[in-house]
Amino acid sequence: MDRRTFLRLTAASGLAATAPWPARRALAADPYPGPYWLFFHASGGWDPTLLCDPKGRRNEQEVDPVNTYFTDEIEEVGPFKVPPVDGMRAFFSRFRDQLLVINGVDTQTNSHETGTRHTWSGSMDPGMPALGALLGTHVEPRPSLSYLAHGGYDVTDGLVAPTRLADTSAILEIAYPERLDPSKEESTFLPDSLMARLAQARNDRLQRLHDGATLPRVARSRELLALSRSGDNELARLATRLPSSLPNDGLQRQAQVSLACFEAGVAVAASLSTGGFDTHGNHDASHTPRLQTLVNGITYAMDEAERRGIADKVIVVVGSDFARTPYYNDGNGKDHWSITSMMMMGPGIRGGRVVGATDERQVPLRLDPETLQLRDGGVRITPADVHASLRQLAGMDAWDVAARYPVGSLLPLLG
Amino acid sequence: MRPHDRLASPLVLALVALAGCQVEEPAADDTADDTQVAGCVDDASFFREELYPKVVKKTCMGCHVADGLARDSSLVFVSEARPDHLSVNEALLASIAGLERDGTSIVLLKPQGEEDHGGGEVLQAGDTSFVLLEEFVHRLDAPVACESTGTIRTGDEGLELLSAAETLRKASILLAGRLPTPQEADAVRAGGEPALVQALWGLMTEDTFTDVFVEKLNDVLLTDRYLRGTDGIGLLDDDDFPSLYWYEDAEDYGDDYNKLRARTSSALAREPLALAAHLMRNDLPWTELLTADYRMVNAYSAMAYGLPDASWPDADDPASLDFRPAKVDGVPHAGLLTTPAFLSRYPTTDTNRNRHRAWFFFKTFLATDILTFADRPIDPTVSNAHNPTMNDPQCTVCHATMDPVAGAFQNWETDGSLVPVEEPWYSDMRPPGFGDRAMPSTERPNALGWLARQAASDPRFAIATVQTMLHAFTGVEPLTALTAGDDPVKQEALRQQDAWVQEVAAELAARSHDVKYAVERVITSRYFRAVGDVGADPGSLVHAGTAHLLTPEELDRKIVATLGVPWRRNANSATYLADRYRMLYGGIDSFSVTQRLTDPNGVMGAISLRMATEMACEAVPHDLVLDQTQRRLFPLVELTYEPVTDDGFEVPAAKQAILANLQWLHLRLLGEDLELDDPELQASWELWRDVWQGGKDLLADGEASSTLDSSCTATIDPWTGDSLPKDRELRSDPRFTLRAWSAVLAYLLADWRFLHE
Repeated sequence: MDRRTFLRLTAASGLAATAPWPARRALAADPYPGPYWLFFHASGGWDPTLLCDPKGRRNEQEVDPVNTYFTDEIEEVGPFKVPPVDGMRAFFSRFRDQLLVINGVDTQTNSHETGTRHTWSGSMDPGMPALGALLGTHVEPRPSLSYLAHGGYDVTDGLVAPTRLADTSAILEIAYPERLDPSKEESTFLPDSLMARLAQARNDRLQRLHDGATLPRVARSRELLALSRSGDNELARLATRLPSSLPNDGLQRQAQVSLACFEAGVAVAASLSTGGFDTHGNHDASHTPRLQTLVNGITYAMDEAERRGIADKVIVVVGSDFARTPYYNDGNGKDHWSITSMMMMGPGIRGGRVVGATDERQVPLRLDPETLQLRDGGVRITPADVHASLRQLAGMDAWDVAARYPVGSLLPLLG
Repeated sequence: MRPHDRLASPLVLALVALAGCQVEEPAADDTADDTQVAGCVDDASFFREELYPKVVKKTCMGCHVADGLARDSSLVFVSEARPDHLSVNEALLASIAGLERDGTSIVLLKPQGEEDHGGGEVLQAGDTSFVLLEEFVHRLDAPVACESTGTIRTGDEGLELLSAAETLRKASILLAGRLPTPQEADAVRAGGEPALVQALWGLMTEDTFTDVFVEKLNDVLLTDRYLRGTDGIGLLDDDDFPSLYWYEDAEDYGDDYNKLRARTSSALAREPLALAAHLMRNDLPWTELLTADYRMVNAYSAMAYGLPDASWPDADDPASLDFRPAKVDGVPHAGLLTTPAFLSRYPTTDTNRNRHRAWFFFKTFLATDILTFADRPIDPTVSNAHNPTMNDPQCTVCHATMDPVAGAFQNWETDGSLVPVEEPWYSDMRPPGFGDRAMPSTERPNALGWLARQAASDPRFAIATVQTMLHAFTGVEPLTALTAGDDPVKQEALRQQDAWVQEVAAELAARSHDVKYAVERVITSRYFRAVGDVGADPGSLVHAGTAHLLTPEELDRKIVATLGVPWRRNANSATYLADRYRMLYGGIDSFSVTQRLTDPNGVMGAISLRMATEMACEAVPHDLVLDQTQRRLFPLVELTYEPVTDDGFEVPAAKQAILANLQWLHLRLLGEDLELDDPELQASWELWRDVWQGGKDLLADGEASSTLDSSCTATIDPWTGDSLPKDRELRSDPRFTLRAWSAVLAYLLADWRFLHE
């Protein structure tokens, strides 16, 4: 089989080789300089009416209200309407100039799995890679931890090997695999010159195995092993950026590890997740603390990014499976509702804006696709459309690999 | 109809022509057997490859589906999410096609806009699509069955497969955590495929296979989530089981309280997997996973359940840990479905009403992901239906299938406790049932038992079993109609996979659902054995290839199997891959991390290098201190063997021994059976030679020490931690030969072939 046919088959079978072998081998000599992407997933289906699309109820007598709080309790912070939920005013005040809120996003599903896939891949089709996986693949040279998958939707469709890094205590010892005692530079398995000979032998052997592979799956597997070892000193660089202790809060811990990887230039994108949003019962009391955990996590991440000096390179995208019904069920819970919101900020995203809208029952209002003004007969924004814009922001709108995974229409969402 | 009349059908001729097949002239003799004619298209193939994609899916399923406009008609096709959707839909269309007006089938009239077809005219006579439909109806009167002529591609053609002996090696490592014995290898080399199958069944009787089998099944069930701490104890309520904390009297019996508590907890957590192991080991029908009218207990959980025959266990007796079937009074058992671990792992709420459990049930035991029924866009904002899960087609597309099964779980609370049978089920929800069968009210006391029997007799159960085993032992997720999409290469791969799965599933059912048979078929299939392409069609290549990255558990076992020593800090600690690096190396905890990583990332790449360093450092001296006949790694050399003397004289015998031992290592560690002049063996030799020579030079220059680093010496028995006798210690390497061997071992242990199977 010739190389061209081989690559075509590899791509067609979803075993996506994205660059020829030699190009991948010369990787990651320098830290990846950014931008860095943080995807915050509110797992279970959040309620935007308690976050960025508040509704409220007009009075005590209103039947079947969307919320238990009253409409006159809703505050305005810059362009944002803010519900009377602890912590929200501070959050929107902090990011009033940076944050873009997109309301009335139609996920077109009430299924957790499908909604999560739609929100983070831009498609309802099974097997679609997360945007983070595409980002981690798109960058060349690619750092060896390019896509950090702490949770949420992390399907890669074979594009890139995701990395889980919940426990960082072992990083130091694996950062120097050639040292017998990781803490001692001189404690090498073999003298340096002989280690170099061993490393060369390993690389040559892997190259030979790869060149001899006639099955796409095998070739790709050998390529991934080579890639996983291409980042000389990357883990060592990361080890110096890791704090001695990590936060107890799970979401903040994910953010901390991700930002350390970003600062070390060893990662491109990270999927973060916090759960507990699927509040079919006792909604307000159960859901509100989860939202507070979420916004606290975002704030913590941006504080940490500033402390590390990379805040101007960090792009944050926040979303969920879908939303909650604009009414309560018999157990004071809220069930699944397909119309949701997304939030984002970072370089290339014009903040201080709200795009899209829903009516008082959280039904999306249609927009003019060019001006984004409300217009009967216009369009509904879907996660697929949001991804078209995010891909353009990432500079991958003309990338053939991304083109294999179609998303929605390009609307002027990011400003 | 005479046989050749069928082939004379213009459509069939066209199909054959399209497929590029050679068509033989019809036989002049009417008695000729048409099934031997090349190019024959049987009815199932015709439906699958022609009618379904070109007409049914493209035209009919726009409306005739559960949430479509024609949902109330008598023709509602099932979703592609069902693994048997083709056969079900073919049978459905055939049943409708039997209805005729004036001798013409209704399925030909309706699409032409006749017979009050709600969709009006969608096809015209003479259209290619209509001709296909006519052909379908025609075939109902004159079925076409083709005898296999060898022209139908199974997917194996053009693939280079592992030999029987190579397959045995791979299977032994993965199934039994060991290398084949020389006798086993010889028997398979001599006896070929039958001997391989015999050897596989032998491997499946070993204790390690039980561990492996349970490990694989837990990847699906995730009930080991309760192995953490004493979480297993929390699965039961002491109101229901007053003797739950029986071990509190441990001191009275002179026992260790913590040990008894931990064993009780583990036993309760492991109940579903113990049932699976019991069925597999005893060749019992795998359907009992759902239908068993007993649960599995050991001496500790028997006490917790307060079983009448339970007695205080002897904690020093290993048999006290053995599981056995038992019945708990008043509990209507239904295999693992009624175990506290399963019910707690898949919990419910007052509003979820067991729907999550129903989803998992379909997905795991019937190979049907109900949620994918709803991948088409919905819009609840326009729904005015009262009780949407009953009345809104956007919702009923899933709920009509899911809710009756959810109802069958009604006897069980989230915590696994029984609900009083008097409590009614929700009236605003579909009543308990399965498919089009309603559950008889008399079955209410053991509703899950009834559901289990329905599922066990459904052909999808065997399909799910085969798919589970395929995934478990190849690491490759089976394709579905949905994941294959419209990609023609994936479609062909799916066709081949489906044909294989259906065939194995049918045979599995015929063999009383002996799950080992499914494992055997996976191991002997190309999905496990393909190593090269020598002209295969692209569809065959999608899932072909032995490129399975070993899981932490598998790599752990392979290290011991090949090196004879585990990778761990000391004799008292857990192995690195079982503990410290398990999650980093892509493992799961069955709780927060439930999906294994199947591709190596930068961290995993580094861990494999560290493993290679540490194990080369440890295994080489420990093997070399053994008598030569006991060595696993170096049976053909001594440290005194140098290819050149200090005076510069070549020592051919030493070099030959070194080469022979390199040959041995390639075979043992990588499964590569190389000739002495093989380039790969030469590459290993050159590495050995360069490290040895370079090291000697450094020794001579005083830039290296002949004393080994303490972590690379042999002074302690790696299994017991006891000191070795002084005369067996190995602390120095004055010729640098030990480190040359260590370098080669580090080279081989970090190799793709060592890390993958």
